[in-house]
Amino acid sequence: MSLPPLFRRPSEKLIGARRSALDVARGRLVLMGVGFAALYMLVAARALDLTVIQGELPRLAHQQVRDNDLSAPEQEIALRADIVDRNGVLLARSLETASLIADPALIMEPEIVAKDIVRVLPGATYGDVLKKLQRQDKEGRKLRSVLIRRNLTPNDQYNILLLGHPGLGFRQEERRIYPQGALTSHIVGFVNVDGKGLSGIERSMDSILAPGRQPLQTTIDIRLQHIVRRELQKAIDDFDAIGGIGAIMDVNTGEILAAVSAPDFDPHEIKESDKEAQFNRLTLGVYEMGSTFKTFSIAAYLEMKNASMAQSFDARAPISVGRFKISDFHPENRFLTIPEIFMVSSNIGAARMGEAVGTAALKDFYRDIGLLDKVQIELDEVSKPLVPNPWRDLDTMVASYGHSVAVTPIQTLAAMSTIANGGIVVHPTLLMNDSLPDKNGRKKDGKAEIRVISAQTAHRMRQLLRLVVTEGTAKSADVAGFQVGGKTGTADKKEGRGYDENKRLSSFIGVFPMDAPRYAVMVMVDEPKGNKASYGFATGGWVAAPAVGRIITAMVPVLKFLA
Amino acid sequence: MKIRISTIVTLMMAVGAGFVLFQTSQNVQRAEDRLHDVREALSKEQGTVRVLETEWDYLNRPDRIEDLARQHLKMSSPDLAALVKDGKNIPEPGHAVLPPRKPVLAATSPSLRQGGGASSAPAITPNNAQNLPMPSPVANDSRQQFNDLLNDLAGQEPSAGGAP
Repeated sequence: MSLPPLFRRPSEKLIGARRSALDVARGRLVLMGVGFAALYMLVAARALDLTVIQGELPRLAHQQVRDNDLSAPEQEIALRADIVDRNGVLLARSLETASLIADPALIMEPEIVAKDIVRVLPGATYGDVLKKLQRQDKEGRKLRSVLIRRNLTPNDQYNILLLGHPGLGFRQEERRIYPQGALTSHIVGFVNVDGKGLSGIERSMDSILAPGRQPLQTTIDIRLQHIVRRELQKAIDDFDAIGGIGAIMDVNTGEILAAVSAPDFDPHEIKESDKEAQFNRLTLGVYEMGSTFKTFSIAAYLEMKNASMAQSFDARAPISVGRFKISDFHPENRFLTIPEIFMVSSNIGAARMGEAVGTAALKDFYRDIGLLDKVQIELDEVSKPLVPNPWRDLDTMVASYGHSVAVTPIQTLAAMSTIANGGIVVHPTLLMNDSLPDKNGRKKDGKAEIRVISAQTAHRMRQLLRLVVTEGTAKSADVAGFQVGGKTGTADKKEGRGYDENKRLSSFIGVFPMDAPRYAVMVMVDEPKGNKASYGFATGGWVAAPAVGRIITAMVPVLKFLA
Repeated sequence: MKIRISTIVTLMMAVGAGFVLFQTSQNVQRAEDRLHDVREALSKEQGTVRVLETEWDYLNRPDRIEDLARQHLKMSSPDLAALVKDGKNIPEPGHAVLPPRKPVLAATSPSLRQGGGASSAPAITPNNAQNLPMPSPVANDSRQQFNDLLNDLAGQEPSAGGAP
């Protein structure tokens, strides 16, 4: 194999001065080669660092994180969890919306831009927009970011983009939407601009509604909620009242299927609604409920004395205790049997029964059915009942027909459910998920069943409740075929130290079907005024009982009761 | 200096490997870009779905549906009066609790009266019993027809592959 001369190793031996000169040159060449090699190594090392160590490895690591996320695709803004009703209908949802912002420094002709914005955005005024576009800081420089309008609709955003003005931009923001509007306003509540819950479930369940959580399912049924609100509003309009509440409870589980407090408000327009409308009468209002309490005092009497229904009490004349007089609204002026006392709603009879039960026993019974303590429910807006302190014997007599003790309507409804379901204490609840612990850390499903009255007493109470509707004060609540039972209540409102006879609370709690109760329906109207159709009466039997009758009539097909 | 074939081969392999590596990395990059686009589109679609769901529930507000039904449908909500001719006729399961002034048998009598008085009552039950099997052949027939239809449909397409 012959190679070109260039590659042939020099064969002649060099000697003397020539040799030493060549040696020096070779040494220099080697030195240069080593130097360059070192430099190239440096470059190579840097290249490796930039491409692999700094570039590729973190990307690979990131890639892995993203791969793990494949099942749940990432979202730019983590949105607050939804609130839904028992059928999954949305009550509250956060949506990403665009807010229009402007950079005045990039806008050369603010007048033209302002004119265009006003043309496209409904409700914007020229002067207002122009002022924002020309806003300057203290040193007279134009600002770099000005908020023109929060939460544009997609259509408005599209139109702004079509304008094509530089200096107009968008910022993604979170907006809480309540598709049902005022219908569930008191229960669901509302949030502030930063997405922090300020009332209702939004407030009490704020941490559970954290971004990325599962939707929170309430026990509300939006169809029943609508029925209750409609019929309550009709009662309020018919009797020219100032407000009221309506609620439906499952007597066996304590689930609240509908809860309305009127007047209500639009949760999107908090600033425009007055504080009065935001007040939740159902859980925050504390009222002397009146005759509905006779259900509880008579239950206590039957339970403790194991009395015969035929036992009668002297209701011939009002009872006078000191300067206080207990009298009947419709005086019968004779001895009344227990069913008669309940049916005609005799205060005198109830007071005598309460007296027979005794102060300590009646207090204990009221406490057992949850009337003397703050009700446990998943809301922050809950009031403590007002209980007389000290509790004298007169208070026992008065409390037997629902005065001197002031409670929230929701706990009255729960107590009625307790009596109706056969005597097991009912804990009202607004959330479907049984595994959520309540505020005391107890789990709902771990709760023991507490029986407060015997099955026999409960059976007698059901008969009495039915009697009120068939023969007594609440005939208008009857719904053919559904055996409604219940108790009316008409209480004068407290004004200062006394009671105002013209300002009253008229209520009715209906339970049906009475042979095996499933639902309790409550309506209470605040300050109703008698009208022609009611012959001037504004009592629970005239105001609230018909409303409950209409609610039951309407809810039966919704619940597919006939199937 | 001697250049071996193995050196040339190694060099070519290195160049080839480099080319393949480049190609692969380009493919991966393109795939990643597409994945990114798809993810973005997906997230956008999900956002749209969220908005549409909200709008659906907004448009299905019970009061709005009620108004629309009143305006456009010749229907009304079911009236119990239409289902129950006379509510008083429905026997009360509970008994009257008023202490009876006169002995009241009526509370328990409706079922009694029906059983004793109506001679047609026993006649209805055998009739019913005879009627009961009547619907079933019809049901069987229709089920048979449905099965036949299914078989027909199935026979048209996959008979070549599935059925012998």
